[in-house]
Order: sequence, then structure tokens, then C-alpha cells
Amino acid sequence: MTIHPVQTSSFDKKQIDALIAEGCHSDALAAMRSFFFAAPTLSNASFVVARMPKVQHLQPSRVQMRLAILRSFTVEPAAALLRAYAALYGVDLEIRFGEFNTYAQELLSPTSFLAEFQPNIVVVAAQTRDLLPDAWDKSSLDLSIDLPAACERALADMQGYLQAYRSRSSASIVVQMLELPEWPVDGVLGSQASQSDVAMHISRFNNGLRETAAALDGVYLLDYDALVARHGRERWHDEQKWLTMRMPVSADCLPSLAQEYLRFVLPLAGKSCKALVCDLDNTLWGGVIGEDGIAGIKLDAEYPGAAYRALQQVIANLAKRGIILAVASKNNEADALLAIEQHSGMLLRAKDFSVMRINWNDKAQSLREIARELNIGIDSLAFIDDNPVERRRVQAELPEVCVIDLPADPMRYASALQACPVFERLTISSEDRERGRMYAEQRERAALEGSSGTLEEFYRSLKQTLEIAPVDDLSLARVAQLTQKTNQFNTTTLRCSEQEIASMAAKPDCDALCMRVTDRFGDNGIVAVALLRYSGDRCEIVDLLMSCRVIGRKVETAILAQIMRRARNEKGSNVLWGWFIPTAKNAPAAEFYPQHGFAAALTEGDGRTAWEYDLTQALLPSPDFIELVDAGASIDAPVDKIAA
Amino acid sequence: MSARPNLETVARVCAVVADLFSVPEDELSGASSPATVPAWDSMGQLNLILEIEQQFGIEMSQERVMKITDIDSIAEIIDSAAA
Repeated sequence: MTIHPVQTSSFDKKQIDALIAEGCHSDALAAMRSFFFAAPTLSNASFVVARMPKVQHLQPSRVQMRLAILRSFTVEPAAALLRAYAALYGVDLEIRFGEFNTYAQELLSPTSFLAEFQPNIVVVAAQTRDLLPDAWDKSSLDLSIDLPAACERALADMQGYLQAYRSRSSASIVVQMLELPEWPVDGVLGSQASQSDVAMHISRFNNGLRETAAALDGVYLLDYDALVARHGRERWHDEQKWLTMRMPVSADCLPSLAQEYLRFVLPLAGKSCKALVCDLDNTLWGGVIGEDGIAGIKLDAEYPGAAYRALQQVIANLAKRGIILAVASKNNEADALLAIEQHSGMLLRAKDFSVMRINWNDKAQSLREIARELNIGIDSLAFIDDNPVERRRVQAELPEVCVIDLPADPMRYASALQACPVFERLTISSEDRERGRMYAEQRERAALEGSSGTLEEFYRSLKQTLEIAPVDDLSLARVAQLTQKTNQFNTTTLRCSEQEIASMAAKPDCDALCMRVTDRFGDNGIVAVALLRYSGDRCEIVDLLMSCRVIGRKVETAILAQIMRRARNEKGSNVLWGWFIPTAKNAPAAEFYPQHGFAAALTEGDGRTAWEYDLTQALLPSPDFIELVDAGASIDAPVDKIAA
Repeated sequence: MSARPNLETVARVCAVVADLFSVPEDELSGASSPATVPAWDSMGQLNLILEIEQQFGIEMSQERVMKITDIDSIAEIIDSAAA
């Protein structure tokens, strides 16, 4: 047996306890999710369950459920993991176990522990080797064994147990179907047309179980063989643990077994998500539509676009299951809608999304509006976004939303979404099938609400640093590239070659500055450029641009505050002057000057506007949640602090 | 049995036991056993073995498992596997 090392999470137990002690409960809950999903071990499960009482007030719609597991093997460790998973998804599980191999008596007897426990859910977990031993390790060539008869009898028995319990209880019943043996008992001979292999009988038993379940209300089937096969039979089984502890599942696979049970618990507890809210850029397609344009985004049948197509296919399948789809994206609406409707690679179109929020608002706000417009609870929303900052922001603001942690590699997006247990359905109605369309038809935008009061907390939690430095040989290529590629936050969209930037940087009356931003998630690199020209007492912002990576995080305010201080304190300017030249794509920068206290100075016939700021008056304060880092160059923090 | 277990190993086992059975770590020592930790019953012992195997990357034989009496005895098994 291979033992896989426990994965590492970005959070540890000490940090989680510190967050709880500081009263940062929504951060603590988000951290516990990330922590446990990355390392679902038994001690971490105990840790999570022990701390849930501190944070569960964030999930007012928590549900209590009683689960009984009737079994033929040791299932307790998987159940311990299941309790932790369920708790993190808003379900408090009380779990009790039947004795070993007494599932028949427990289902049949009116005085078994089930009568007193009154479970909401009963799982019947019997293995092939216990329920149908002749099909597990005995040759089908053994003429003393009548496998078809054994199969019929086992099926009839199970049918009787289920009917008996059904007549006494309204609990939902989940029955594990049988698995195939790890090795074909008769080797390759068993697969040949002349033979009647054990695999055929097991599959007949499973089909019979389907018919039994169809005839009874509230009986659901767990395809145990598919679960085992998905992980690999050799990896799944642990013979030593089976022989010594009656536990057939390897420790590595216990979380998968627990998650499979969770896929039944969540819909039975009414905790499945009703809607999936999708980001667009680098989630539904590769690239940024506002920067790369419809011809530049990656979305087709080949690498790398195929990864995004695969994700769209999974989402389309969820919609068929009755999951409502919505969009929350920071983009110019017209650009994004054009891509959704016109791009040949899109599997999902505007009609598939019941609500779309494509704007520059905070995404937590967009999710609130989407829930309200769909008239469903916030806890019915799931959210996918490639950007960990957006995910964290939404999770901190809306702890009840199921925020899906997409892996860093887009090739794994589709399987990550499939692995997520919150979209499970045990039945499907015609209404489920039509739901998405109905919402789309009655789509009507509600008025936008004001901005969230806790945005500043979010900015603070990002722990951003800003470093401003003159362009040098090392940054020259990146700076020129930014001037050529940046479309959205760009005041004049001045495209420059490396030579042009270099010559500007060399002139005494000019500044070419570049800005590096880091946050708690890492270094964003050089993400902004300012080109300044000084003449007389005036400083002109020839161009100011910022990558969409850091839009909406007040970085532009900090940059502008630093430019003001540099112009006044070091260059003796009294006026800061800047043009805004509108393009098809730079709407995100349109309000930049007026929002920061600039007065309108000029309006040209072609729509260009000039703005000015009187530097002899109080300067724009720099946001105190963005730390200024000394770049060791001519812009330095001490001067700034004196001036501020 | 073998030499006294490594104190660092004992501390790491104590941390696992504390988390798994929700008891304060400072109440545990090498002598802590099923008799002194209420949640350490037979099923707790199974969970503990699984957890120790996973966290330390070892596999314990049934013969070794039978010799587990307290935290020190678990630490000894881990030390001998690492040696």
C-alpha cells in the first residue's frame, strides 16, 4: 500500500484558533474549509467539529440530521470525516452505527436501535463479500456453486429488508450497490463469450436493486463500484486493514467514501445549491475579454482553450439537472455579452444564464442581487471564480455561499466542479429541467444597491503593498507591454515602444514610473505605469494605466496620492493635470479623475476631457490599508509621510 | 521493550491524540492511555492508528498494534520505523 503524504493548506490550526479568538468568525470558517478540504484527516475532522459551535452562527439555516449506518464493515473512520464535511456544508450530523453484519435484523426488527434513534437517513453498507460471497472470490467454474440462484436469493432478501423497514419508517434509505472483485476470479477466461462470469451476476444483482428501489419511495442507490473504480481498485482496498480491523478501505480513500455519503446527505438535508454563479475571464474562457478581445480569448477544442470548454460542458450538464446559472463578472457588459453570444467556442449562451451581473461592482454585492432576483437564499448559491482574491472576498462577506476553490491549473477546473458535492439531486422534476429557462424569461434587473459597508475590511484583509520606482532596464519590457496591452484602466491609451519609454525615462522633465503590487496571495508584479511630464508649475499625467488584475482595490488611489506628493514636494508643481481620452474599452477609468477630486478643465469636441487638481491645497490622502514600500529610488516614503 | 522513545516523537503523538480526542494537549504525556483519555476506546484506537500511519507515513503491523498500551508505546513504534 502506498501512503500519500497529507497535503498542505495555506492555513494551520493555530491560525484558525487565532481567527476565532479575534472574533474573525467568517474568516475562520473560510479557513477551516480550506484547511480541511486540503487535508481531510481524522484529527483535522475532530478539530473542525470541535470548533464549529464558535462559527456556526454564520450559517443560520443549519440543519440537524440523524444518520444510521447499517454495515458489514468498519465504517466509523469514514463517518468521522463525513461529520466534518457535513458540518462545513451546514449540516450537523448525529451518526449511529449498526452492529457488524446485522443490517438484516436491524431493518426487519421493530425494536432495533432504529426505532429509538428515528434516523432521517439510513445507509445500508453491505459489501459483495458479505452479501454475495459466492461472487467475490469463488470461481464461476465451480459446479457446486449455483451463482444465479444465490444472486436471486440475495436480491429477494434485500428487497424484503427494505420493504419491511419502509413500512415502518419514512427515513430516506441509501443502499450501496455491489462492487466487482479487484481481480477477475477466472482471469481473462471470465470475459470470454462462452463464460458466465461473476461480473455478470454482480451487475444483474445491481440492476435488480435498481428495480427494487424504483418500486419503493425514498430508496436511493449508491454506485459503490463506480466509486471504487474511479479511485482504482488496488488503491481503494487495504487488505491488512480488512483482515485486522474489518476495514476494507485504505486510509487514503476514506475521504472519498465520506464525500460519497455527503453527496446523499446534502440533497436529503435540503442543502444542495440551487444556482451556480460563474465568473467569465479566465474561468469560462482563457484570457481577459476586455484586454484580449473576442479573437484573443482561449476557448476551443484544442489546448489551452479546451480546458475552458470542458468546464462549460460540466456547467451545461448541471443546468440540465436543474441548476440555475448566473454570471458575476467585472467587465464592460457589452464586451462580455459579445463574447458570450458570438464566440464560436461558447457552449453556454446568454439564454442559459438566468441573471447576469456584468459590471465593475463588488462581486459580493452582485451575488446578493442575483439571489434576490432569483428569489432564493444566499445559501443556495455556489460561486466559481479563478481569482482567489474574489473568492476570498465573497466568502468573507457571504459565509453562506458555497465558494468553490478552483485549482490553479485550468485543466483541472472541470473535474474540480464535478467533485463538488453541492449540486447533487436524487430526483428530477420537469420543473427542474425547465427552471433555467423560466428564470431567463422573467429576467428583469432590480435596481442596484449601494456599495457594501465592509469593503474597507476587505481591502484591509488583502494586506497590499505598493512599490513605485522609475522604469529601469529590468522593467522596461514589461512597462512597454503594459502600455500596448492595457485597454480598460487606461486614461489616454498611449501605446509606447520600449525605445519611447526609455527616451521618456531619460528626459529630465519627464518621469516614467512603474508600480509593483503585492498582496497576501503573492506578488502581482508590475501592474501599473504612470508617465509624467513637468512644465513650469504644472505636472501632466501623460498616461496612467493599471492592469485589470488590481482594478477595484484602491491601488489607483494610492498611486495618484503618491504622484501628487512627488509633483509638489520634489518637482515644485502647483497643478496636476490629466487627460481622459475615451475608447471603446476604457470605461473603468472614465470616472477616475472626478472621483479623486479633480475639477473639469476642458472638454474637446472628440469627447476628450481634461482634469486638474490644485496641489497647493490638501492632497488626496493615501489609503492607509495599502503599505508603501520604499523602492530605494527617488520616490521614497519619508518625504511622503512628511507631506501627508 | 526498546529504549525510551524520542521526546519529540512523544510530543507529536500527544498533538495527534489531543486533536483526535478533543483533549487539551497539556493534559497528555507519554503515560496517557485508554484508561486516562475517555474518548480513546476501541474505535478511537482504530482512528488513532490510521491517523498515526498517515501523519508519520508508516504502516504498523498487527503485532505492533497489539503492543500499544499508551502514548509512549506508539512513539516507540514510530521511532523504530524511522530507525
